Amino acid sequence: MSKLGVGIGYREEFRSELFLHRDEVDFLEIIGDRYLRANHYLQQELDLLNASFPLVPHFINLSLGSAEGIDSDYLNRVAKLVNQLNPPWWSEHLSFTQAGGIDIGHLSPLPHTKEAADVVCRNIAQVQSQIDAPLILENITYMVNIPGGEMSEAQFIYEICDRTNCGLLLDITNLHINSINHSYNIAEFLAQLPLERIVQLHFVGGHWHNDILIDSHSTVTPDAVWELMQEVTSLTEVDGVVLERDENIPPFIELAKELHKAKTILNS
Amino acid sequence: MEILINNPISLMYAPYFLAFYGGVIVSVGIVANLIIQGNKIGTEAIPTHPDPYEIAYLREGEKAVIELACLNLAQRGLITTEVNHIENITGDAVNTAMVSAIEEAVYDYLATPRTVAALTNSLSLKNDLAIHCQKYKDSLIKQKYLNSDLKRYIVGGIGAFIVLSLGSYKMISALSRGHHNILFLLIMAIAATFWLGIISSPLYSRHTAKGKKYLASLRQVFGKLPSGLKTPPSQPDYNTALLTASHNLGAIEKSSTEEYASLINLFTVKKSLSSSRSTISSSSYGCSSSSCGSSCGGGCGGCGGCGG
Repeated sequence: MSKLGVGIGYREEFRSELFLHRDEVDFLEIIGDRYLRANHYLQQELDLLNASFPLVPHFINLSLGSAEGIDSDYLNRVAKLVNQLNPPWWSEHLSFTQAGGIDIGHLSPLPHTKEAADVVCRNIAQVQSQIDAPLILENITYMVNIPGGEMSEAQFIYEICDRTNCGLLLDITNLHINSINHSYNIAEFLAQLPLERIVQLHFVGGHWHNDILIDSHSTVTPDAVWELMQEVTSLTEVDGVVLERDENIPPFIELAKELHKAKTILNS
Repeated sequence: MEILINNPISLMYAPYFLAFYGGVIVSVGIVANLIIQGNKIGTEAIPTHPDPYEIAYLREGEKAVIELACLNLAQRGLITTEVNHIENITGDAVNTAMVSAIEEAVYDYLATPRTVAALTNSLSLKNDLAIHCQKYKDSLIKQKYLNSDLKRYIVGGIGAFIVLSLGSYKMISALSRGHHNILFLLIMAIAATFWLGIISSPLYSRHTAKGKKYLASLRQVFGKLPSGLKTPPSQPDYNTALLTASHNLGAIEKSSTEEYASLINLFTVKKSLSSSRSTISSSSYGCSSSSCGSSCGGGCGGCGGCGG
């Protein structure tokens, strides 16, 4: 895959400033769902972003873990958009967002079982049959560890990536948050991951709420996540790193400082 | 010579000819419009550090350039606004050395208090500014965002020539045969010439289709720039300049403009302020970032985050 460098998750709130700081951004990760039913305004925005930056679409609602399979209408729209943009890769979460025809509205964790892995692999095969661009899978945060797991989360990710030949979007903030909320050792987790499959990283800061670290994408990246980025990039080559800020968005110059720091780490 | 007198067009029954002539007029008009507008395939990237004066010139020519120059002069503390007019500040303390040629021309013109209408409609000032804006005009024509006067005149002229030649020929032919019912033909020829004049006029076809699309992109991109206006005298704020250039003074957030409120009012009093904002507001299209599902990782931290 082509090495894209350091990018940022596109948010309309900083669109104007983004264009004035274009030199600081190697590529943009766009939320693909935003453009699946694009009106004229959004189509114009997408065209403009596509003309100005390399784009990587990131989806939310494909629900790869749904036992009932993939929503074919949604998949058709995803395929149309991805094929139109022809990105070096695209991404979705290793989770489910729909069950029994109901949209949960939340990225929900899967049980780490053989059966769940089979479901995900079957769904990914369907997706891959319609989209040529490589799919990479993102690890999520979870409040509850689903009981009955037959393997660890890292082993679950390994098995799915191995069987589907998908790359990995390692969200190091999610990894950091899960390691704190569920008291596990990050080094052991990384040792079980297919590191050579890591294509992209996500990073940002969360916040504390009632002694739980929340993945709110609302604060500056904490030192622990920077250290984790350093560790992961020293273990394997990463093609892209994306700052994923959604809330309390500061002036873009503050985001640019984080991008610069990530660039320094990526290039070290 | 025989063919000039006896041919299908000269012999055509009048109502049929009028229908044929109407078809020719519509075809010529469509072709002229297509040539003048050009195609708009593809989207142009926005420059990293665009010149606000070039954007203003693209938007509305010298008129928008004057508006932007007034804002910059006001920020430098070189002009003041009274009830309904603007004038420059003269005296030893005034230093115009740092201003651009455009701003200097506007500053000089404001030696006498002027209303905005007098300022923006002044032919002498527009002629002055046309010299300073020539580089923008040339660049925008080269990039095919603006039509050149020559192109518009040639296309409009050729179109009118075709329509009038055909009409005149039929008219002469009819009159030579003793038919004097040429009123409809005359009306059609005049109306067609008027229509072609509109198609090729700067009012209608100053921008190419590509230019209109680029301007729409600029408005979309810079519509959310935070204004950094400071109390004068201060250096002109680049963000506000881009916002004003791509929209107009009315696009500046009211909360940041106490010192500039009267200037903005003078320029925007007759304009519908909502018109410029409505084109840039995503909410008016019924889709904010959150409603489109872009809150994959945020916006729900209080319920435990989305895990994205």
